Amino acid sequence: MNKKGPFAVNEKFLVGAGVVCGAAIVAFAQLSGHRVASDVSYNDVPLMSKVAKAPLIVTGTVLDISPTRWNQDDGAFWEDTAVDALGVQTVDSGVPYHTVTIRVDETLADSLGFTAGSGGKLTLTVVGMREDQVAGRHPDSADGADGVDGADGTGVLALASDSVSANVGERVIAFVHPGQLAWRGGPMRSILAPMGSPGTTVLSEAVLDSGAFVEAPTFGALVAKVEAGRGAAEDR
Amino acid sequence: MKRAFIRFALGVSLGAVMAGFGFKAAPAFGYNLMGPKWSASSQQYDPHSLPANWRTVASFGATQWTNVSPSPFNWSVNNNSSNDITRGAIDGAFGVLAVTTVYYSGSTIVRMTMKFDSAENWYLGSGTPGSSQIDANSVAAHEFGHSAGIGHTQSGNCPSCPNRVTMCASYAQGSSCMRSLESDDRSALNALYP
Repeated sequence: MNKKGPFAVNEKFLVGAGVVCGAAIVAFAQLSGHRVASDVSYNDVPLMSKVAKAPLIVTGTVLDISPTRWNQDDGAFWEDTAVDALGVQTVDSGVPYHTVTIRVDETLADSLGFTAGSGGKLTLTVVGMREDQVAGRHPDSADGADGVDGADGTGVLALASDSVSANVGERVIAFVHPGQLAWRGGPMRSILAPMGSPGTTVLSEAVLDSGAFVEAPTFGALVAKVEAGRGAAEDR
Repeated sequence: MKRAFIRFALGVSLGAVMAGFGFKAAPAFGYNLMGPKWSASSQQYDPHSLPANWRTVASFGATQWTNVSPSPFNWSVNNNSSNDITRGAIDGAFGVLAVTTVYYSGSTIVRMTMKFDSAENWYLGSGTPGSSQIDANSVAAHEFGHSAGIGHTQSGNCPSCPNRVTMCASYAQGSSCMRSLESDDRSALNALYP
């Protein structure tokens, strides 16, 4: 009973501090200079289609989620222009991406020849902004390390794109397919990518166990569906 | 007894106020606004580098937002505009369909560019796309929403077709229901440019 009083005070303090911090972040973003925001729109794949068709399906733990970069060697935002009869024209521009590294516990399906067994690492390249750089806050303002410099050196603010919602340390199931990423000044790069919209492709145990997907109301139920539909993996 | 009377009186008062002012539940909108917006409600885009059939697609996407009422916001073509629409390589087939980039200063959008992935199996017509095709008109309508300053709709407000909100985060292959704006989309634009 006595715990309620101090806890309530602390909670109010935390809420108040959060409001102040949130307002400060928004104000900083609004008062700062010229910036760019990029949206990435995905072709989604239904969950059961991923279960049936994903070339690689693994369970594991998220080890790292990289800061957002843009598709050129130095990782900065870029835009290529040319002049034609009607003036300056955008020829091409940057695509944001980040990587998600998973320590593999189990390979449930594999037609790619993915050789990392249990304990090995799988790095996915996700086109779009990292989750914590999406929700309307300026990436430079919170911790500095997350900043993605823009072409004019003022930074990039990503406001709306789908992204992997799992956090470092969380157990996940990932549906993976071989993809490509355009690269400035070079050929397309081969990548391992989420099969479909990232937010529904690297799924955490917590999200699945919350019943977010009717087709598979728990993490275990989804793993069982994969195992039933795809058979035992080669390395088990 | 006195306390009960007070409660009753409060209830009556509240009921009277609700009736008198035409109380109604707030609509459950799920739209998200990016934050920055254009300073003027008339904006232009440049599709001149696109082939003719893609210029038609861009026009369709822009028109969906121009037609929203009562918002005065509108798009028109200007081949000298720096708001360029292009096609190019993004990530090969599947995955990402388009990238829209909005440039802004403070709370004002100053420019936008839009790129459609040239590797996709696009359907450019106004009929029904094949099950393995991507409906360009649906994606264009979505991207022009971003270009106006609208983010993705909250996932809880994103039902499947036929009522899928155009500004939902992902598109289902073979569908065309995101071509037409839903109430949530129109509310977003009306809120941003009343």
